[in-house]
This record gives sequence, C-alpha cells and structure tokens, in this order.
Amino acid sequence: MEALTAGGWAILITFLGVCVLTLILGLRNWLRLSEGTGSGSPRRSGVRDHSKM
Amino acid sequence: MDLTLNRVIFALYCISMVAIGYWGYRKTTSADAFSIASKSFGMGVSIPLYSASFISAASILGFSGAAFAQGWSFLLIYPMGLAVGWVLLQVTSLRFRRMPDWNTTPDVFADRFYSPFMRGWMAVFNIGYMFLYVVIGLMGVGVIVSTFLGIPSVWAYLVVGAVFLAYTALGGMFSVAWTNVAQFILLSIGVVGAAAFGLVKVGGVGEMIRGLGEFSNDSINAGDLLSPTLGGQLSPLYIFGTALGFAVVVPVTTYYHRMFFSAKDDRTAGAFVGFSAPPLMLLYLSIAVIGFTARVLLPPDTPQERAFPALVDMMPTLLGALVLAAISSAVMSSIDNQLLAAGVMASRDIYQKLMRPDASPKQVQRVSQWSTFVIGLSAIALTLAQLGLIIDIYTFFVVISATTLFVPLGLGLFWQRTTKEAGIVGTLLGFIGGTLWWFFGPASIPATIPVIPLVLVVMVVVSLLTRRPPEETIEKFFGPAQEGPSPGFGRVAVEQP
Repeated sequence: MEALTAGGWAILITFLGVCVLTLILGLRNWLRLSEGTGSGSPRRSGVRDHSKM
Repeated sequence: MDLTLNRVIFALYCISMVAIGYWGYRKTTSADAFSIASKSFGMGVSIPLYSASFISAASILGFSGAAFAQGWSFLLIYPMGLAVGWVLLQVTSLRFRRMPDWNTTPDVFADRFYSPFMRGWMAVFNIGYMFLYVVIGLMGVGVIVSTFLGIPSVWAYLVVGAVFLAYTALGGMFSVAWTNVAQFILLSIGVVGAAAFGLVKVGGVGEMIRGLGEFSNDSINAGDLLSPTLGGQLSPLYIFGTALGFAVVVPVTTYYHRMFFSAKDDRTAGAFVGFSAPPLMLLYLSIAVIGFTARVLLPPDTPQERAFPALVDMMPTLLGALVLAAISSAVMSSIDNQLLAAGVMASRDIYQKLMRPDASPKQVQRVSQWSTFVIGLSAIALTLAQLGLIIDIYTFFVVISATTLFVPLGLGLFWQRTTKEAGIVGTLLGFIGGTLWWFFGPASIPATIPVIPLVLVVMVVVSLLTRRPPEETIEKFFGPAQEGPSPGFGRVAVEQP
C-alpha cells in the first residue's frame, strides 16, 4: 500500500466518502419516516401506502 | 473452457428467469401491477432491483477495461462520477412520491410543467433512449453468450432476446424485480469472485498497487497508473467533464424513477438508493480490482478489450462459468428495466393519456404488454441487423439525455418559480445545444460542460420573464404537508394514530 501516492489515497477516500454520504442521506430519510413506530410496525406513510389500496 | 458445463449453467439460468416471469405473469392483474407492481416493493426487493439495474455489461466489461488502461484515474472518472449521481438521485427520491398516481417520468414532467406537450415530448425522448439502451445491451450480451456457449451470435441474440422478452412482456414489474433479485445475487458472486481471484493471483492488494506503480509499456511510464491524471495524459477538464456526465445522467434515468413509484411507502422510496450505496461501492471497487489485477498479470501489450476475457481464461472452469453467467445477469437486469420503462411510457403516456383517455384499465394493461413486446421485438430485430451506427447513436443519446433532462428536472423539482415555458425551452435547448456540440464542438470538452450551465441560465431567465406557475402546481410540488411535518426533501404525509 505504501506505493500509493497522496493523490491516489485522496481519490479512494473521496469515493468512499461520497458513498457514505449517500448512505447517510438514505438513512436520514429512513429514520425520519420511521419516527413514532415500533420495531414490529413500520409506519407506512398515509396516503402513499398504495399496496393496501 | 468447458462448453457443456457452460450450457448447463446457462440453461438453468434461463429456465429460472422464465419461471420467475411466469410467476410475475400470474400476479399481474392490472395496468398498475404491470407497470409498478401495484406499489408493493419493500427494501428487500428495491435494493437488489436498483443495484442490479445499475450494473450493466458496460459496467463490468467496459469499466474493467478502463481500469486496466487508465489505472487509478479510472476511479476518479467512472465510479466517482456515478457515486455523485447516487447522491443526486437520493436527494430527489421523495420528490417523486408527492402524487400517488405517478407511474412514469413523463407524468412528473406533465404535472410540473402543466403541459401535455411535455408529456408527449418526454415520452418520445425517453422511449427512444430506452430502446437504444436495449439494443446496445442485447448486442453486448449476444457476443458474450456466443463465446460462452460456443454458438453462432445470431442464436445467442435470439435465445437471450426470447428469454428477457418473455419475462418482461408477460410479468411486467413483478417479473423484472424478482429476476433482478436473482441476477443481483449471481452478478455479485461473479464480480467479487473474479476480483478475489485476481487478488490471489497477484499476491494481495499491496502487490497489486506495487505492480501498477511499476508497470510501463510504449504509452505508459512507471508511476502513471497510480497517478490521478495518468501521468498527465488525461486533462483535468476531460476528467471533470466525463465524471460530470456520469453524475448527471443518474438522476434523470427514467427506470430509476420507476423504482420510486414501485416502492410500497415513502420510507422505502426515500432510503433504498442510500442503502444500495455500500453494495454498489463494493461492486465498483471489485470491477476496478479486476482491471488492475489483469494489468499486472497479463502481458504489457494486451489490448484493453481483451483484459477481462483473458482473466476469465485463467480462472478455474466453474468460476469462469459463474463469471460469464454473472455478466449475462448484469446485462439482462439492465435491459429488462429499460424495455419495461419504454413499454409503460408508450401505453400510459402516449396511448392512455394522449390518445385514449377513456381506455379501461384492462385495455391499458393489454396495451402495456403488447407495446413492451413490440418494442422488445424491434430491438431484437435491430440487434440482428448489426448496424455499427447504433453504438454511435446510443453514445449520442447518453450525452443528450444529460443536457436535455438534468436542468429542467432539477429546477422543476426544487425551484417553485420554474415555469412551463422555461421547461419547454430548457428541454429543447438542451437537446439542440447538446446535438450541435456533439457534431461541431471540440471532442476534448464533453457537451455537459457548456450546455448544462447555458440551459440553467436560460431557464432561470425565461421563468422570471413569464407568468408564475399555477397555484395548483406549486401546491402539488411544494405545498406544506397536509398531515405531519415536511422537513427537507418532500411532502411527507403522516398516518394519524
């Protein structure tokens, strides 16, 4: 690994960082839309629960 | 290569796909079931559906070849551009969930720009784009399957075409999604397995990096393959423009929008792109490792397009067969989504919304199945014609989709003041500007760099000079939540206790 240049490390870390950012944004939505629900009863979002329509 | 083993594995694969297709056909009882699986997908389906559709033949064969040729700079251009695209798609996710009756991307354009013209124009554009995608995918998979099974390429096109057409046209979104789940598992095993094989052969990650750093041939000096710019051979403008092109294509791709419409609730739709980032990251790093280890293992004069096949030739028989089945999976899991998107837009946006508003749901379902079938059959026919020109037209369309759709969709979803006139001018300017740049602009500067800022400026000016959008449109896209909070990304309707 010591052969890798600073630029090479920067590319790798930035790529991993952008992936983690995507994950965090998804997780943020998931948690926000899960508020107030028990673990066994994921809240479906009102009018948008079309699977039951 | 053991052709008998390959044929047995491929036959089992095809039978499984058709069986899933038949199951999807039995579940498809309405137009909504065909187009968006009656909005029933949870996280367990959405993640593999999205991830499998993301990894195509271009991703595995083209990208591993690019990693082989460009070394570490590959990561900066391709995976980085796509990863930025994932962020953009994730940010827009809940904006596609504001109206329960949206089924297609033209639905969103038609409502946001309060214009039937935008529905028709976006439907025709996206159908053409998806059709070309399918043809290119079929051309790629035909070559692979032909080699893999030792059969003439015409038969390979026909076999692959018949299988994917059968399950897509019969079972619609149910079939596409569940075949994608199976294909995602297979392609993950194949891609990660191939990368692991390369690493074991080379002697580990450290040896791979050392080998890349020491590599040299007629055009590459020692150290170039670890440089972000390939030792200065790639200009920063080229790297930025190409990565930008990948980034902006992701959020405007219509078959990813369909996955938002197909999710069973906002929570799934708002998170599956983010949750798919780790598996996609692993797959793209594996694809990079395949290219890097092939560079170290193969003779210095090996041509780029031979990198992956030559590595497969070195593999044990069973692993080689699995990797080739994985590539077939990668292709089919992309072209089925593209074909279904085209078929649904033809039936819903052209037939139902513009030609026959009084059509019954059953009629719409039948037209959806037939339009998917006819478009798929046309794609197979065009593939058999083997027109080299198709590849050029497809590449042109990828660039044009970014310049035509990115700014109008982004401004439409995030800026209230964007008007119908700006939407029409923006999409037409993006299309014409991108076309002119493609034919007359310098090839070293991707069309996205000049055209996207131009479209942005013109759309803002036109919006400010024209009448505000109707209140109904603003309410639909930006109105406060009727129930519960609406922080951040979109209206979130909360079920009352």
